[in-house]
Amino acid sequence: MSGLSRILRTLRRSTLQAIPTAICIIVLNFILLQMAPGDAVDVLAAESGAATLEGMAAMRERFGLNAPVIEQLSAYLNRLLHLDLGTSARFGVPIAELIAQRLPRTLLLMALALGMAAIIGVALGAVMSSFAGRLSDRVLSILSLLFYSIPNFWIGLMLIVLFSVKLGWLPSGGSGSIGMGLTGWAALVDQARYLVLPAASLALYYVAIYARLTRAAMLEVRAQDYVRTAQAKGLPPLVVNVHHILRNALIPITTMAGMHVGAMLGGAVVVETVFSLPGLGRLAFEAVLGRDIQVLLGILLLSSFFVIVMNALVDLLHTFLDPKIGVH
Amino acid sequence: MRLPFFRNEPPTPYDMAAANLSNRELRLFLTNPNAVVGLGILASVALLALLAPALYPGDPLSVVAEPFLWPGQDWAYPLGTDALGRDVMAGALHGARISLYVGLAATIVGFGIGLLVGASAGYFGGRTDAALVKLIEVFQTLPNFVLVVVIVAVLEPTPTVVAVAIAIVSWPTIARLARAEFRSIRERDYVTAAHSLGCGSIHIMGREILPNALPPLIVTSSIMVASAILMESGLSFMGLSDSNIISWGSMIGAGREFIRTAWYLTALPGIAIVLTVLALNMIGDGLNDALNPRTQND
Amino acid sequence: MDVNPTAILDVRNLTVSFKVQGGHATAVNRLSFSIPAGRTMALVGESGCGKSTTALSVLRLLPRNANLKGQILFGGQNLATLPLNALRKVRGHEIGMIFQEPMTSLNPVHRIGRQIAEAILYHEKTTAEAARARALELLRLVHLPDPERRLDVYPHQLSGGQRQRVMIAMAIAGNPKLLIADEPTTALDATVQAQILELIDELRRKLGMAILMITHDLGVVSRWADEVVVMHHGENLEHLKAADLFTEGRHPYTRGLIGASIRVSQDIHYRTRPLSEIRVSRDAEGNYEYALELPTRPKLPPIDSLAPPVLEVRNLVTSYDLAGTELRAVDDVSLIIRQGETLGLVGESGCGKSTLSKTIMRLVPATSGQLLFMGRDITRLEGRGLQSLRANMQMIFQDPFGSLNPRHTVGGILDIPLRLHGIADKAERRNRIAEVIEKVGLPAHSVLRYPHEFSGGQRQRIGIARALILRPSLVICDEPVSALDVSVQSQILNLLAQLKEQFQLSYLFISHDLAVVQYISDRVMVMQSGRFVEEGSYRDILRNPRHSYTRTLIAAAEGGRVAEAAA
Repeated sequence: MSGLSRILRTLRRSTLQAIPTAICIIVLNFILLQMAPGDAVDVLAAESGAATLEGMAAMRERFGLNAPVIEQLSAYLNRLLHLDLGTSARFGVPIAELIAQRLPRTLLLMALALGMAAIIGVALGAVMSSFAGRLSDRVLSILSLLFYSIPNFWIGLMLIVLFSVKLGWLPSGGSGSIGMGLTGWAALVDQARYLVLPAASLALYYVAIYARLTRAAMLEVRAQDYVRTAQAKGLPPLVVNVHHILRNALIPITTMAGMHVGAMLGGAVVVETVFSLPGLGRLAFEAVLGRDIQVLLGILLLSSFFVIVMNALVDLLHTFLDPKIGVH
Repeated sequence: MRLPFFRNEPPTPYDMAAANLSNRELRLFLTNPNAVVGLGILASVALLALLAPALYPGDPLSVVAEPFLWPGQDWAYPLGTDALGRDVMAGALHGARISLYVGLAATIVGFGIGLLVGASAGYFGGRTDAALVKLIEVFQTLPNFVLVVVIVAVLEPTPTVVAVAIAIVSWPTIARLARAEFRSIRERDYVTAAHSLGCGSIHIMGREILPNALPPLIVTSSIMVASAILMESGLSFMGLSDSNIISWGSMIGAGREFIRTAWYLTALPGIAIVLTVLALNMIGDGLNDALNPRTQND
Repeated sequence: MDVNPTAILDVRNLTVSFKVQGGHATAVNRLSFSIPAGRTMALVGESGCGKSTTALSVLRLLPRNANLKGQILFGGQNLATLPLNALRKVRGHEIGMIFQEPMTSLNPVHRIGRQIAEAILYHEKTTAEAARARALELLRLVHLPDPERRLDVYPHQLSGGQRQRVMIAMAIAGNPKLLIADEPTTALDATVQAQILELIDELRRKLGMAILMITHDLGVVSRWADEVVVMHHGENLEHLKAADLFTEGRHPYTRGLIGASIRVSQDIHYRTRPLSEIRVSRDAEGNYEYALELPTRPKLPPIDSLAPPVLEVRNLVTSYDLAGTELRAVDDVSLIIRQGETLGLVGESGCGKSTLSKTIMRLVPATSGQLLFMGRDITRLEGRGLQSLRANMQMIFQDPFGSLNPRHTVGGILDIPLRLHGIADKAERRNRIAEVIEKVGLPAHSVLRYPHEFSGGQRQRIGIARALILRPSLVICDEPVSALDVSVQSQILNLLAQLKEQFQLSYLFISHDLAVVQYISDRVMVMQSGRFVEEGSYRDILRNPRHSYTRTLIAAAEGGRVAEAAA
């Protein structure tokens, strides 16, 4: 059983599983699109206040909003195949372009938050499980429960109060200092300063999740027979904890972490709103305000595909972590 | 406690999970300090929410005093007033009603859908299972909060729509869990015994499997209420709520503009959310310790 | 206190208690024994007697809530009080240990070679290459076939017997002076069991180790140990030479264990002699009292070989679809059970015996073949016909913990079948429940209790009561005593024999244990890979086995030498 064949098999399986999921999501998207009362043209008309009925009909014709449902669905699928998500009635720009502009910032924010949450959370969980039942475990457990209960937008605002308003250490929003002509290292540091608070607000909830997950998974593994075998071999506690307990606990931890990617994307939406970061979430917020359902659905579709890709990556990671996967 | 090295004599963890719900588990739950504190907080919040119309009759959105009174500045308005001179205390109490309503309604609907789908998938297996698992997978792939935002934006932001939207994204958690429980319990010998006695599917699902599958589902549902409240607050913070009904999230959203001068307007409703959600999570932990002794530490 | 100069391990006054809710539970009570260098000492006893706790105490592998008192002298050190970092130099180096469950005792995510080399690297501070070479040498020593390739496989790619060999290789990596074997073969099939025990004994001679063997199996003790300590409730009841166990055991509990356990070499049968039962009780001061009881022999009519059969199975095939390929779990099987007869079915795990019983019970569809019950074809029976068949054919399960719904009272469990089969009158249902409860030897107030309030043996009685409450004529017993201790096993076997008389039952008795099948059956069939390889009366099958597989099973059950196959 070579490693490569296992990886290929996993990739093939993930792809085969993803295709029907993707089709279902596309159809669901389309149904939601149809359900929307009124359309973007109504909103535009209401905003301008001066649109005539003829003008609105012409606009509907232009956006393809008058055709029968089945025709609209096939047109929709056809456009998706060409990576065309339609044109935003509100921004007057192709939606795909809008999303492409905003996506990198959101990905960066999520990657930062995920990294922070994973490192701190797993470390905290490992400590908690090692001292299970003792004072340090209890204190950390309560703390993680608290982190788990705080809305991320609220902690973001509180961090702004503390670090921007009161202490003045970090900027309260935006994505970089404009007009200072920063380059190289200085620009990077500047960018990072704007991302610290958003990433921390987003990460906090996931620190709690990963800490609790790690604690539970490690306690579960600790009760396994092979841990007793490792102790009977005379291995020191650190080796037992890392090589035998944590190494096995990583399998359930990564499974759950993969399942949280979608939720984290939702969290990024709110956090970007708080910190005025020009990412996907901010775009979603603007689309909500403008009732631009097309843009919202474009974001939903794209973020679903993002989750599918992340799930496939987690599957791939599992072939490295768990030798039983990919063999039959 | 676990005594893994005996075979028969002391009860195994499986036995402990098996004890009848009414006595031992309830006692375990009520002697858990976390659970008791959580229950206390939640009961207070619920009581205040129920009493809100009596304590603060009238519209909590009406202007009652001068704006920007800080908490404690005027004891007639213990939590101060907002930018328009509305009583923050009245808002907080009335806001509790929306949070609890959405949290409970979303969980009840989500639990119902999830149990139905998960139990059928786990019990019947085969093609039913494959189809339902695909359905669960699709809903788990859609990012929860984004989907809720879309649904609420497509429909209208009334509390009931919000609750249903949250139920639509949260049922897969229950469904997955119910499926796993039904699948594994289906293979137990007592279910085989029921089959061999001639029991029908409805009897087996309802009387033999469900009572044993319920404990982890109950634990999860208390956490579902908590996350529904969090989601609702996020929605109303973003302005996706009925503007005629006050909620904690919308109070934070409104207070946000004055964060430099009157940060208490943001802080106070947030603390209300954290306390309520924390209480529910503490109850969930207590339930978990009482109902699933497997996950307890030595 | 004098020090025994030849003893490699000297345990003195060992007491182990566990902190539990509301107090302490004593698992081992003032236990003393010593093991001479190069000899095998067995601790024998039933579940909960403290033998495994003792084994784990030696290396202090007990859970955190355990409290350990007394002395464990090994190589001039007291392991009971030795600091942990010094103890770690003893663990896996001077004392090796193997466990009961080879399926779960190896880390699933690391390769075999690495798991063996890990301890060598840590204890001997050699290079990775040297440790790997040593691991290979160890795999050869434990006769693992194809050792070069096996160094790089994961545990899930090995069979149970092979994994136990790897565990042994790991335990002897440091040339230990003492090997602790905690039920090393309990989870393995009989043929594999014998090979593993033989290997351990061979290594003992080659490496000059002493062995502390933990087991519940008196046959294993008499065949492989030099000395034996019989344990109950954490105490040493009797210390004997292993060879004298069956003849010289004086303690009533030892005598009881001997009387209750069945060996293939004994010529005993349920129709002629019930098994003796141990009664353990505690007097007012809490002291244990042991008594032996021999129940009366059930009066069973001889089998009428001309009477029509209760069950007839003709050319039965049951197959599963496994990833597109057809897997025949039951492959062209035919059998007959006559009125009042017990047909024994013996075979090792995976031979298809459970699938066969489920197919007969109509829980799994038959792929082809015919099932005749009382002369009536039931192969495709549905609806009301199937429902009435259910009342006539019932089943007893292996696991007394998993076969009762923990959320129902015993009364509820027994009430469901009665209601289901149309007994509407509440008083009548109550009477029938009381009657069957009494027949299986449970107190009347049991009906109000939940299953977790009963011991394993009592739960098995509840399972039997459930099977009998509809008054069936055929009962399929699927490994009904395999999960039970010998003393409980003898009670259940005696009960099954008595019930046979009272309810005019016929049994299909399925087990992996040849000795038990031989005792309880009138006729025996041997099953291997989904097929019957041999059939005969309980006497013939043992005296004149024709098939080589039957001979292997008998040899394994006798604890003797089995042809060395790749285990």
